[in-house]
Amino acid sequence: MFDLRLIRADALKLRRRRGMLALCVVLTLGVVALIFTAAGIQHATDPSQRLPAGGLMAYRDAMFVLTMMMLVAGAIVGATAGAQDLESGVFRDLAATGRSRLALFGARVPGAWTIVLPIAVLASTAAAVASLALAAGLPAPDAGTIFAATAGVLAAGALSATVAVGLAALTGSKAAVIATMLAFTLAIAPLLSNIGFLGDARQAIPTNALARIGDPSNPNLQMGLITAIVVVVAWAAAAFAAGAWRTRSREI
Amino acid sequence: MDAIDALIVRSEADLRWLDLYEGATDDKEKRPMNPVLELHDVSRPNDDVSADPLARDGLAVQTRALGKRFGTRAALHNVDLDVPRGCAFGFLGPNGAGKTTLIRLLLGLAEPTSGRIRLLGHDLRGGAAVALARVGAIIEEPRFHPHLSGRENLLVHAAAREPAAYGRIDGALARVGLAARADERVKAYSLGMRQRLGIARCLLADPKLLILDEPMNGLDPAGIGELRELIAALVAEGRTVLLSSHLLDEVERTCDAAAIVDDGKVIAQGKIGDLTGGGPRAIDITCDDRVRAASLLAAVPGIARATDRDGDLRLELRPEAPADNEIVTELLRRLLDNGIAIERVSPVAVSLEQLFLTMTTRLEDRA
Repeated sequence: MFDLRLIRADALKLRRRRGMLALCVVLTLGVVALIFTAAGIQHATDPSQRLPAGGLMAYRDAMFVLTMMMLVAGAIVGATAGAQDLESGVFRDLAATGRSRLALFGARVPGAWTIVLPIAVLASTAAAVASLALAAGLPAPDAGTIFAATAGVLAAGALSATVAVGLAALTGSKAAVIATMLAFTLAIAPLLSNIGFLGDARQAIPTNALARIGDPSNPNLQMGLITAIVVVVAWAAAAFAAGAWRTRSREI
Repeated sequence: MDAIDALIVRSEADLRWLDLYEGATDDKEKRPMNPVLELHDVSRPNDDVSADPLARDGLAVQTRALGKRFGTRAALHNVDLDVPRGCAFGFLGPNGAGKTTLIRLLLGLAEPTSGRIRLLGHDLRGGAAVALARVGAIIEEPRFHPHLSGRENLLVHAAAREPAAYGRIDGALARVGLAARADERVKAYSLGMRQRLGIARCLLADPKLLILDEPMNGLDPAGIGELRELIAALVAEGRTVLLSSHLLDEVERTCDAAAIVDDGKVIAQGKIGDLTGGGPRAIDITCDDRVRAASLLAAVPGIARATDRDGDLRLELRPEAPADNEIVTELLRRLLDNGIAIERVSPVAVSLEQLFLTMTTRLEDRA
């Protein structure tokens, strides 16, 4: 199902979308740069009232924001990867080669990852470097913290891209998928997380699982790491299966 | 197929090729074409595809009892189509007749409700990858990723083909005249350039069969001429081109054979000459007394109607009328016996367009 030549082709299609790439870099690396720059300026102008821009707490805050931004960037890249062949009409020509539709679909997820994951690594590294460099005597993040937070950001990008690829194949519309995922990530998921009577069912909310992966010390999350990984994988698998089914059964 | 069967099939095919050569009058007719081009009765029993020896190596496309329904509407009904290898085959029909639906079924883009499809001897059901490996297609209009260059679009497509397809990219671009502009984004291409890039994309498969759905749409006369030459060259290389088009005179000029589809059914197929020869027949006569000639000749057996046409007398023949030379002899005898001076007598050649319009119904008529 995962053909290297098809994956390279999907990566090429995404790599040539300069506007999309620029937007994703601004949303991730740009936001990290903005956070530390703004905090650095505030500390420089009022050192007695404002803490240094780096350190452990600043790192955790920056990585939380970055995780949210990776969900958005992953949705944009994944939805584009999932819908671009359909929206351009090229999918019909690709399917007419006799190549397995599942292989054509399966290449889109790793194709999207080739864009999303390097951006996630770059932005996470920038956040770690900035928090260490600007700690100025505050407790700095240790290697374990950096590893967990980076894993959380990577998982957010990978999950978001996978779900978006699946949903885009299901609906055939990039815009609808991006809008839906933005609404879920920024409004619906936080709302559901605060509804107490949902109890443990809230562990199935993917943003909670991602927060657990990225920050094991968070006292608000009582979820085990294995449970969090299972939740992330289950969401990705469900969306992937839905997209694969639609791609296979779609008459074009 | 054992050795004796193979020998018999080969010999029959060779004989038919000889028949085609004997009647050849121009380059198009001299092209060695494979058999089974006789006009066939579309109501004949549906043969089992696998039982037909030609299915194994003689036909590029073969469908049997092919049907497709969308809900309660039958888009295709019991379609039996035979496209011989090594020819340009026209596929004609009015809007909504089922042409594109059939092409989508041939390419595995939609599932037939009933029937069988063989491409290049391979059953499409359960073997689409093998059957389509040597098939190139343009469906409706060629679509590309507009943000990629022409070459990058071919790279993307080559990834879905065998690895050797990468090595065909430069040759394909050169062949369609796009080598110099291959690195420009497709969004800057004209429609004609996109059509040519579509052909180049087909060539990546080193196709034995090309299925082109309305490839001349939007092309200027020069572009149509270039495409016609390209199709002729591809056929001369032994490839089969299945060409769906509304431009009937182009099909007549480009194709060796054709099928006419109407209301979801193939209503005729065969060599272009046979198709037009099987259409309505007429004879035009120029003489000095048209009125008297009309009354004299209307009573001749085989004459359906005598009408005035641009100063000539047009005699429309019944289907059961004798051959042209026999009936012309009889007409001349009657006119001369009655002292009518004859300037010209000419059988009217029926064009594919006339045949098409006679055989097909328009959508509004159907409604």
